[in-house]
Parts: sequence; C-alpha cells; structure tokens
Amino acid sequence: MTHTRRDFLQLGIAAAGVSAIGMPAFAQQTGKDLVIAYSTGIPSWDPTTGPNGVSPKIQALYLSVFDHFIHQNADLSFAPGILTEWGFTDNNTKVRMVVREGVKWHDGSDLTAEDVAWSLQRAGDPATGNPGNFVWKNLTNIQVNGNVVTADLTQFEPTIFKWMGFLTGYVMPKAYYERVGAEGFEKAPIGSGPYKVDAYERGAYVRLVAHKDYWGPKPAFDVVTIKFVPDAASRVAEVESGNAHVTMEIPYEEYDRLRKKPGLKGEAFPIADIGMIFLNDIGPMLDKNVRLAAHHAIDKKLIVDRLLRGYGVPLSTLDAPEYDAFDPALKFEYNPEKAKELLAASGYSPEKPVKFKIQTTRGYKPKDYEMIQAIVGMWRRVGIEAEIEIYEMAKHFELRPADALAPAAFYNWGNAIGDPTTSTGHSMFGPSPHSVWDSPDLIEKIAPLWVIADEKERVKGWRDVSEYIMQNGYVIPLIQYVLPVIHSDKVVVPPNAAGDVTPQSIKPA
Amino acid sequence: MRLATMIVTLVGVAIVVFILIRVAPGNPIAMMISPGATEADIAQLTALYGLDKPLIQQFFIWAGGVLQGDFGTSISFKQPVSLLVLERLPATLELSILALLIALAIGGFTAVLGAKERGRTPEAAVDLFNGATLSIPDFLWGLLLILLFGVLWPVFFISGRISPSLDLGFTTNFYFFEALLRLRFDVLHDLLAHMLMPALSLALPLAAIISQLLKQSLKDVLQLDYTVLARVRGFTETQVILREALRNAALPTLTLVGVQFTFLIGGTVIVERLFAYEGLGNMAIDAVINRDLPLIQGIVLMFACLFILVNLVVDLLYTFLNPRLRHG
Repeated sequence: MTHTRRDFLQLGIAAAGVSAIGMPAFAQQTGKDLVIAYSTGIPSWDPTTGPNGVSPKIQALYLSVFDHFIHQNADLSFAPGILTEWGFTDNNTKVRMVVREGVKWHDGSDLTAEDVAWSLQRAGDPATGNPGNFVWKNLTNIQVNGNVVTADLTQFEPTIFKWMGFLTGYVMPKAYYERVGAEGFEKAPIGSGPYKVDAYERGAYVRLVAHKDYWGPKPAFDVVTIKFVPDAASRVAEVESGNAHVTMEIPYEEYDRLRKKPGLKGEAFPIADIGMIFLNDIGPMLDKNVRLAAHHAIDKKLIVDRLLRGYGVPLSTLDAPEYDAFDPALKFEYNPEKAKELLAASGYSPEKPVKFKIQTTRGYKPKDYEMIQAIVGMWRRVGIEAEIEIYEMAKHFELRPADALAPAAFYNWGNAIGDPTTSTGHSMFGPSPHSVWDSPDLIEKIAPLWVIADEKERVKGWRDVSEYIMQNGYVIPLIQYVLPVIHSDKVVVPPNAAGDVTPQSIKPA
Repeated sequence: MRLATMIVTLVGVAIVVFILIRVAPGNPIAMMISPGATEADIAQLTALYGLDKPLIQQFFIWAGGVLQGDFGTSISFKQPVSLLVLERLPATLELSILALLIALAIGGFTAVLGAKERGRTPEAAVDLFNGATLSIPDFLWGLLLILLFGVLWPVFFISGRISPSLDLGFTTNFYFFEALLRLRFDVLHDLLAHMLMPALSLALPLAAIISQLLKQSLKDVLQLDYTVLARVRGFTETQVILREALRNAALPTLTLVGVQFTFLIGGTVIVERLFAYEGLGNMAIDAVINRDLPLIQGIVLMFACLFILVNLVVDLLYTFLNPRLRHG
C-alpha cells in the first residue's frame, strides 16, 4: 500500500484538529499552584454530621478547611491547636480547655471560646445527627470564661481529648453558622483552617486558596485544586499525564511502575489502618485449638512480600507500631507444624479438616480477596477447609452489629488516634456493637479499662489485654496497610500515619 | 392512554425501588456508626433519619412527599434530592446526547460506506470494525482512550466536566447548550476536551449497532425497484443511498436507536465514574456506596422518567418519518 502526500496531509490536519480541541497538561508546572487527584469527593461541608463525619478518607479534605479542637501531628501524637491547653480537673469530673487567641475565621472574624463551646454543645446534641455523639454527650454544662472553656463530665472518658483531634472533633463558626443556616453553610462554608474554599463543584473539584491569617504554619501553595477522581486507573492517568501533581490509593503495581518514571516520585508509608480477621464465637471458633491453629498457619510476611509487593507490616496484635499500646515483644509465631499439632489435638487433620466459612470483601482494600484466598490455601495445608463468601462492606456493617458475621470475617480497622480503646477496645469488647467476640472472660478483662484515669496504667492494661487476646486467639490480626502516594518531583509529600495527605503538608521540592 | 401507562410505570418503578433498596444488604445507619456507639446511640440515629418506622409507613411518607415535589433529603449530601438530581441531570443529558450524535455519525458513515461498497473489501472492513467495536464494552473503551489521549498523547482531560480555572457565570447547568447560546467558545472548547473521551466510549458500541442494522437495511432497500429507477435516472450510488434509500432504511434503525439510547444512558453510570464526570451516574454510585436511600430513589426515578421520555420521542419520530403511520 502506498501513501500519497495528501494522505499524510489529511492525517496531519486530523491530528492538529484533535490537538486543537484538546488541552495540554496544565499541572506540569507548579509555581504557587498545586493539583491533587483525590480518591473521594466532599458530599457535604459539615464535617460533624452525617456519614461523612466518620469517613476516614474525607478527613484530609476537611482538615484543609477546618481545624480540630486539638491538632494532631503526622506521627499521631497531639499538639496545641485551637486549644492550647486541656486537661481533666476536679478528680476527673470536669474538663478545662484554653482557647488560642488571635485565630481568625475565613470571613475575617475572630474565633472565640464561644465558638468552641457551641461546637461542643452542638456535637453533643443528638438532634444534629453527629455520629460521634456517644462521646460528645459526656460533656455537659459547658461554660465560657474569657478564653477558657469548662464542662462537666457525665462519666469519665479518658479518650475525650483524643477525640478532639479525631472524627467529628472540629471547631465550627457559631455566629456564621447561625446567620446562614445549614443550607447557607453548605453553599459557602468557612472554617479556620489553612485554606479557604474558593470554588466548589459538587462531585468534581474544590479550589482552595491560602488563608493568609492562618494561626499555624503558612501553606506553601497559594492555590490548591483538588479533583475528585474515584477511579484508581484514572488517578494514575492524571498524575502520569501531568494533569495532577499528587495522587494516592493506587494499586501497588502501578505505584512501582510510576515511581521509576522520570518526573515522578513515590512515597509509601504505613498508616493507622489494619487488616484483620474477626472471629465470631460460634461453631468451630469455640475451640481454642482451631483459633490458634488458624493464626499459626498464616505466613503474613509471605503475604506482604508476594501479594502486597512488600507494602505492608505484619501484625501480631491489633496494635500497629504507631499505636499507644503497641508492644514489639508481643509476637505471634508463624508455625504450620504447631497449627497441625493443635488441630490434631482437636481431632482435625488435612484429611479430616475443620470446616467453616470466611467472609471477605473484594476490591474494597488492596488485594483483600487475594489475601483471603492465600490464607485459605495456607489453612488447607494444616487441616482447615474454609469456604470463601464475598460480601460488600455495607453488608459487613449490617452483620457486625447484629453479631451475625460468619465464624471468620475479613475487615480493615482504622484507628487514626492510635488509642487502644478505638482499636482493641471497641472491636473486642463484647457489649460493643462493633465486636463479635462476646466471651465473658474478655468482657471481664476489658470492662475496667474504660475508666482508668492514669494514662500509663490504662495503656499497660490494654497492652495486657492484647496479649491475652493473642494467647487465646480471639482475633487474627494480619497486616498494617501502607499508603502509596505518587507525586511530581517538583513537590515533596511527607508521610502521615493517619493517612491524611493534606495540601498544607505538601511543599515545593 | 399513553399518559396513564407512563404514570403506572413510574409508580411501579417507585414501589420496586423502594422495596429493593431496603431489602438489599446494608443500611445507611450501619455505615455511620462510629466506634463506641451503643445500641441506644444507633437507635437514636435510626430514628433521626426516620428509618425506625415500619416500611409501609416509610413508603407513604416518601410517596406523599414525592407527590408534592419533595423527594426527601440526601443522607450524605444533606441537600434536597430534587436539587441534587436536577443539578446533575444536565451533565448526563449533554454527555448522552453528544455520545448519541457521535454514534449516529460513525454508525451512519460506516453503514453508508459498507452499503455502497457492498461485497467488496471496505464492507468487510466495516464489518470487522463493527465486530471489534461491539465486542469491547464502553468502560474498556474508556480505559483505552485514557491511555491513548490522556497519557500517551495527552490532548484531552482525563477527569471532570470543566476546568476549575474557568469562570463560567452561567445560569443553568446545561453548560454546553448555554455556552453555545452565549457564544462562549472558550467554554465550549474546554467542555469538548473533557467530554469527547467519555462520549466516544459510550458511542462506539452504539455506533457499531447502528452501522450493522442500517447497512443491512440499506442493502435491502437498494435492491428495490425505485432505487434501480434512480440509478437509471443517472444518480450515482452515493446519491441513490443518501437521497432515495436512507430515509426508508432508517426506520428500523430509529426504533433500535431509541432502545439503545436508553442503554447508553444506563452506561453513563460506569463511564461517568471512570472519567470522574459529575453526572447522575457518578452520583448514583456514591449514593449506593453510602446507602443513601432517598438519593438512590430519586436517581432511579429520574432514570425511569428519562427512559419513558426517550421512548416517547422515538415513537413520535417514527410516526413523523413513516407516512403510513402518520396518515393511518
């Protein structure tokens, strides 16, 4: 086949036509602008009510506009934020908080102790629909005296200040909110955070501009555009084409490919999110030998190395290394021979396996289904035959409070404040709707820990409970997740153990 | 009669959707229980969203609201459902119409080419093109287009509907139509750079269907006496097809296009998600993930209305194009 000059001319015109319609990548230069392709959008601008309040993924977006009562550092530790001092008083029956002076809302008005008091009152009011109401309702008789806020505690809650740097623990502008109402706030939200909302297209993007009067470190970028791109393949394309400087939550295979490309860099850091297998105290799980054998048979390092390409941290307890009650001395051994012995003691073998069902999501977390497939394979070798049932996360959320999970169920548990109550506590305490292991011995061990005032003693108590759980095989902790972040080499993205990649934390290279 | 059928269909859809999403696994309250919430806290939240009432009572509360134009409030967006749906509908409509136009253009062109060159290599090429196009689903086309025109030759935007840097100042959400009316070529240019890839992904499978059916119809019509007469009168083959055969051959294709267009609108759910296009489909996925019951109901009802409307338009067009029906 021969080509004439006319053919090439037509091809050239067609290409020029497409180029003319198309747009060049606009994020290849940084300057004072930053573009982030984010995995989720912001359905609502009130970070204290509705399902968004407890959605971990959205928190990084909220944190660019709003401030927590208490600031949380990248290593999960806490630091002065809007509150500069805080503590329990009067034999742990009251709290006292000092509000930072000189803080400005985005509309230029002053943030006062009244705002803090109102935000706490509103959070504790069940009519607002704050999903963290169970903790905020403990604060009553909230009083303001100058820049000091005090309140009574209906019951001692040792983690209440940690919640002030956690889900739904945001300071909201009283005067502005009361003036514009809930609908007005959704249209024009203001906070006291490092960025102001400049433009917002629901489901598409938010454009933020730096808050010049921000009380904390000034953000490095004047304008930040966060595009909501839920599909991982599209996020990869966004950063690969230069249309975004930063993206995250992409497959590890893509992460490894992209970080080697010229102009791109990668950061992969452990976050406060773990993969685990809930064991329900029913059927074969009532047998301690079966539980322990199921745990001993899992080679977590192999799973991390082979399935997750090394991006994960094997865990022995529900405490990740960044958590307060983590003890590196607590190690659960991978030992398939021991697993066989334990099963043999209960009359099981590869020829006569113990049988049960394991539930898992597929695609909700990286390699979740594949991980369970691998585990089922490892189990088969020692004498456990598990049938896999795939379910949606919504189904898990429905089954767990009803105590209707299968004998084994894969789940991922996030604990961005690293407190043992918000990991081991709520997931393993029988009366909690989040727990499916209800044995009285464990309830008896955990119950006193909720009200211990001495922090060292409290954390030691939880550490001991973790050891007890491990020895009795009441749960199978698997891995701590690693968050892959791909970014242009013109910016620097620091690690954040909570998994919050905020625009204010990103700096020019 | 037609109106009554439409109303019955919508009522049926409303009842089925209402029941189905409540018997499906997962509920919105379970999605927002934070660690530490007690049974009493959960009951309080359930009551706050009115989900503690018997199903039948919930249905009548919702249906009563719908009759007054109140479709409820979205649990995750905290906005009236009607506002959210009407806000996103224009984006989906514009994308679907652009996709349909592209499908008609490609399908029509290849059909005419195949019919004109029947029995020769170009027809085989058209058949091959149609087979290949039809065998690849729309979202795979989307991924392929992203790779080609988003990454390797980055000429189109990969996500979104419009660039955040553009100052629109529009009064409606029909950005494309309003930009045309206002002669805002900068906006049109930007919109096309965002919409062409998702529209093409949706259009290609439909184009293949149109092409196959229209080509076959044309081939049948081209054997009729009046086309032979046209050739005798000195018309070229292209003229015979375009002036004489196309109108008659288009009738069966039109019915099919109507049905397929409704599938195309359904296809926007996945394609909009892939391209982070802010339409109804993308929002539908968020609503399902969050078990946002009022929003799911609103979106499904809107899709049902669209399907009914498209079928109505197709019927009217069919009557217009077919004189026997018009005068019958």
